[in-house]
Amino acid sequence: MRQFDATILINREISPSWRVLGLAWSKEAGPPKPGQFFTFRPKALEPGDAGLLRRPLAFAAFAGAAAFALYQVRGSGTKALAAASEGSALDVIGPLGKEFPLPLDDEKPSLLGGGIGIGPLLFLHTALSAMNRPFDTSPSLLLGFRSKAFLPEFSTALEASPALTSDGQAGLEALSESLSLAKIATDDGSRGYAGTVMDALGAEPAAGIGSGAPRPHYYACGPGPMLAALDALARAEGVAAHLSVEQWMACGVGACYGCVLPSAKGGYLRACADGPVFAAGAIRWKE
Amino acid sequence: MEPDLSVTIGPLTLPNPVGVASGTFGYGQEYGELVDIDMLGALYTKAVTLEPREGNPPPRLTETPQGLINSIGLANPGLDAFLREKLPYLQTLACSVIVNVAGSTEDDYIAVVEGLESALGLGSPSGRSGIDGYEINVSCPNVAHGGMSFGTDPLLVERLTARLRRLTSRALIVKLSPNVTDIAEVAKAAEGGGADAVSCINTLVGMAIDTERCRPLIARGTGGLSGPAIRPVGVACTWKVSRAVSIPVIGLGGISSANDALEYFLAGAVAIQVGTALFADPRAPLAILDGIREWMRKKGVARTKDIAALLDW
Repeated sequence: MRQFDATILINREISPSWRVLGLAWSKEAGPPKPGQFFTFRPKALEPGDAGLLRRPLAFAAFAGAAAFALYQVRGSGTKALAAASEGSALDVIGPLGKEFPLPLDDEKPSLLGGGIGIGPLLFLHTALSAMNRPFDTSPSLLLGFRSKAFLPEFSTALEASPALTSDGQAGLEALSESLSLAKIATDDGSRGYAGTVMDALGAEPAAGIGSGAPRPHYYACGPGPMLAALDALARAEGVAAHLSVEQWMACGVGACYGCVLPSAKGGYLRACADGPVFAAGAIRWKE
Repeated sequence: MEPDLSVTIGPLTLPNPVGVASGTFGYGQEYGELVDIDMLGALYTKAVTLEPREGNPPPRLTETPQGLINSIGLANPGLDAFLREKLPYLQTLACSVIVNVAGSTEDDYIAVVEGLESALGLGSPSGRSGIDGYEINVSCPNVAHGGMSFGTDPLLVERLTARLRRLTSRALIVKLSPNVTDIAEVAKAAEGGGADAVSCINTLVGMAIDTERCRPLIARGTGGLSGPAIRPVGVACTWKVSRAVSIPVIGLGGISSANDALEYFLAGAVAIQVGTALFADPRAPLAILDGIREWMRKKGVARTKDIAALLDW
């Protein structure tokens, strides 16, 4: 973990209201792993408009010396980030938090992403694909969007950035490649399965529990209800699942206890330091 | 001439006037990879209570214009776990360590300081006790008085300070709440009870409401407002308090630059703490220290405690 000024390699729209951010990543900071995140300090757009808090973003890809994140322009922090020009510096701290643990050799990693939560799953998919696991334990990826218009377009961003470093290009290509291998679900049925990611998962042929086929190991990031449903499913099936959560944060390093979630064991867990990746059964989701 | 940045707080000499405020810096280790902690003047730990506290339900944080409302609820592992898990790291630090102490009853505060004093009696292999003083958080609700905070009643503050004074010869600092009618009265009570210094100020009670969902943005409704929004309040309180007592005043509230810190010094503080600004930039405290040193050189001020006398008014 380091704090440093990262040069912005790319900062472009990839779908309505979604953007891809590429940063020249410091070697001293160490390589980010899927599930980990960084925080950035938004610069004021208007005098007095500077947010006091850094914003966390999950890594979506890492290639050589370039790190990527996907973000949605939602509030003042992400609005300020969207206005940051390529070539300018961004104050970042990372890598932070716990990564997704690797699946066991006999587990089939089943990766599920919803909305802007797809970033860490694209990253995990790239990492698992590079491990050349046998076919029946190779990763599957299922991503959910509101509508096909919201599917990210990495190729356009790549074409529009001829000056991008080779690491930068490799990162965008990895994002694009993982996305192309994903099964898609859309809320309105305009692409792929009509329904949510959890609906699509339920509609898939049974993973073959008891039939000798590998047990699934679920990995997910997305809206709270999706994570809660997957948590319940994994526990019902008696299989492993790791879920990445999103929370407002202040320090991002485990000091302030501002970003907590209720623990299933009582008390609270810090999204930043105990997570953001939690095993199924760790979080007490909202009823 | 190189300015002398050291500050005397009762029996304690801080190497420089810039500390990190309680609740924003954990127990140090969390920031160990990001901040050269040994360069700080003081580390004020997250509050320690007698028993472990889970803290309040989330959401615990919300941003407001130039402010941050928090309602963490003094989440901390309790005295025993602090001694076992947090103190060993604090003992490795070169900067002064001030343990922030909180409780629901007078006896809670007594038990924490007693417990720490008896543990420190055993000493540590490095020769550093790991604790140079105590900062008493009197903004906690007092269960014996219907949840009214200790810090609102000068008599309670004086009695609590006096009881703690008998337990320790380490620096004893009372952290004042601004949520009172007359903060100078409470500061005098702390001085009367034998405090070596007062910290001025804790957070202001604040509330923010989501108008879409029609509910507060903090689960507990209200929380403590910090950040630049409260700086003028902190500076005014520091000014009032420093004229009411003869013990040192440690200023805090919304300091994010050397200029902000110097406002506090000119108002009468001899040391400052940086809190919320750390969240935006962990480098802030040491940048502020550099800026203070630079300003003192430029103005030809020899010692930090001489800055207050420059207020031309």
